[in-house]
Amino acid sequence: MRPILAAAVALPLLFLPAQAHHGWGSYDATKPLTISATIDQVTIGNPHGDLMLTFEGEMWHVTLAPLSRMNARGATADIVKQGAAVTVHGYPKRDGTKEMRAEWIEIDGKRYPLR
Amino acid sequence: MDTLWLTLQESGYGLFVRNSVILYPAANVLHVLGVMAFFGLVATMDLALLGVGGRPAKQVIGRLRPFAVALLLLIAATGSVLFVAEAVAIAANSAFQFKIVLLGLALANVIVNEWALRSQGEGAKLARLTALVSLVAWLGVAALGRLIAYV
Repeated sequence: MRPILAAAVALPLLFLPAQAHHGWGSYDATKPLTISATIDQVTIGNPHGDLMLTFEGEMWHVTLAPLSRMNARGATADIVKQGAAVTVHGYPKRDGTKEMRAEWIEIDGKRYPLR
Repeated sequence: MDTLWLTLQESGYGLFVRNSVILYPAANVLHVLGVMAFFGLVATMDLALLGVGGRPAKQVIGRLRPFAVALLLLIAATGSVLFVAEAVAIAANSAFQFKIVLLGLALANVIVNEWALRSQGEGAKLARLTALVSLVAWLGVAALGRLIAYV
């Protein structure tokens, strides 16, 4: 059974360097970023919301929180909507992709913590 | 296949799951609880076969397997809810693909186990081997499921 056990333990390690998406480790918490822009596109939903915005000529993908948490924090779909001016504070992807995990967002002077 | 997943994901049902405040987290919680209870039963049956649990193992399995099957159906049902929310991405996810392959092996192992029990009896090497494979395979399926969010 040793080889099978070893394989079972080692198998997951194969994917770790792959294109990590959700894992917190794939975002660089030592480089917090705050950007203000207009929301180009937004979806509020499960497993988590997403918004797209253009900042300094580049399209950023911002990962939000799950639907129930967005609602709990007051960041509902009628507030976080296309065309709204938003400030996003979060951590960018380590690999340089224009994607960030939002720690909080601010709309109309109200800050919504998402973690 | 991709078209099927896209159709499913963009269907009214997919939209409903993504927009549900209760259903998605509830499915997530029940999926995890189902996995816990299921593995508890699996481990009880496998350990009985390995001689470190209740005896006779056939009786333990006869009593517990129906509950394990019911829990597996619950896990599959709640898993399908989680899947439909982002079907395209999950179908292409390497952890998910390995999970489905290992799930198939774990299910095939159940058939081999049942065959070994019927034809050779519970003390046979093959029956014990399938118990060991079962323990490792089901833990592997659960681990790969958790890894879907990280690859």
